[in-house]
Amino acid sequence: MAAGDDGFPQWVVLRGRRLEVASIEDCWRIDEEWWRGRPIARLYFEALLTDGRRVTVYHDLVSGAWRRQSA
Amino acid sequence: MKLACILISHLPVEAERQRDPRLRGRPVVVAHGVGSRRLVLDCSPEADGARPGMPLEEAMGRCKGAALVEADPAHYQEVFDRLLERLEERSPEVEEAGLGLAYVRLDGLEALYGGEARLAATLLHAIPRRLDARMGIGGGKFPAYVAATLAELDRPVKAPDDVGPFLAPLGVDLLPVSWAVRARLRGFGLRTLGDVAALAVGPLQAQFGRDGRTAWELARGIDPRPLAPRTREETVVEALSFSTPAVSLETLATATDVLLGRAFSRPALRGRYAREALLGGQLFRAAGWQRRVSFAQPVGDRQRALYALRHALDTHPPPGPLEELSLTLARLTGEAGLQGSLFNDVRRQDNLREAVRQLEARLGRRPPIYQVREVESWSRIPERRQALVQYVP
Repeated sequence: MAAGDDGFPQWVVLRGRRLEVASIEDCWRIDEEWWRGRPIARLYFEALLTDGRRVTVYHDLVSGAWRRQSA
Repeated sequence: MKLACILISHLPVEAERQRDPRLRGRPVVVAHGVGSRRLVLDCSPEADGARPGMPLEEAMGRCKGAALVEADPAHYQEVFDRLLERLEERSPEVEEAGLGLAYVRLDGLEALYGGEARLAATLLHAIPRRLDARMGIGGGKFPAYVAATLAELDRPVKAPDDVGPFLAPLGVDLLPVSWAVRARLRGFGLRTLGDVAALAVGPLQAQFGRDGRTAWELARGIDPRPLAPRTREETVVEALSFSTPAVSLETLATATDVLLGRAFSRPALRGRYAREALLGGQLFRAAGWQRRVSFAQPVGDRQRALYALRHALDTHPPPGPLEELSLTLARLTGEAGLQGSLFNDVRRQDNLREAVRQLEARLGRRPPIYQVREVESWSRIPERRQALVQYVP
């Protein structure tokens, strides 16, 4: 996963294949459990890839990692 | 109502003599097991001192030199079934009242056969002579049965319409009540049917209950019991013989598969299902063997039937090598087949529950089967909405 200067994902790697992001369909943020020692802060993107697939990915704002949301 | 009673007193002995002619002319004792005891099932008249129900050791002690034969109930029933089929070719209503005892309805048949005497002769000729059958004719089951006990071979006896005097001198042992009731009747000095008929019904009923009333009615020739004709069930039967006695289960399973293939190719089974199968055969130098399998659901194809029969062979194999194997598919359903369930999920859940229980029994612990369950469907964190939990039926 790589993000551009605007923080939006540019491409993703699925099963060893690099796929470009054609467009961002939706974007939202969640902030949970800030009252605990390990808060959750994520910026979600629903991306349309160039091969036609839709994936949901998020940027973990606490750890800085990018992950795909499978559920 | 006019009935004929066919009585074959020693059908097991005669069936064994037919199978093994060396037994003819010799005293024969047919033995069977009742629980852990060995008892006499039947014995020929030449076996002096032996009688049915006697312990085998006592019978063989009293009748030294008698030929001892192990009972083969399936064979005796097969012999009797063939006889009943021959009787049913002559009369539409035939009741099987026990092994060796049958009642045949005669009403309306005299005109077909040219009189009662010819009708009786026709029925007697339907029975193989070697079975030594006797026939009685009466206006009810009991009078016809009593007449049969008094008959000789080829000479039927007819109970008169006024049956009271006919029955009066005969012993109470003829009554179809328990041995204990007969013994108590004799204890009260009631040794003949005439003694019983002479009493009022009240004291007999007070002393013996329902059996007392039955004894009173029968002693007076009153027998309201209707004839219950046997229903002919359609079956499909296939059989084969082994060139050498088969021992291994694989051989038996292969033979069963062959028989199923033949059976399901029959036009009688086209589009129909069987609820029951009967595997049987002749053991090597021993009596017959049978295994009845009731299918949980009617089967209409060879593979499903083979699966169930193979399981039956695995869990209850024959006690010895088989010389021949037969397959009978019975309780055939109509053309409709299986009815689908409106609530498919209910049956699926029951099947799943049972499968999990069997896995747990086999593994000795909870099987590693999990399911996804909703726990916090409202959570904004997607992975918190559902959890993987162990499946519990």
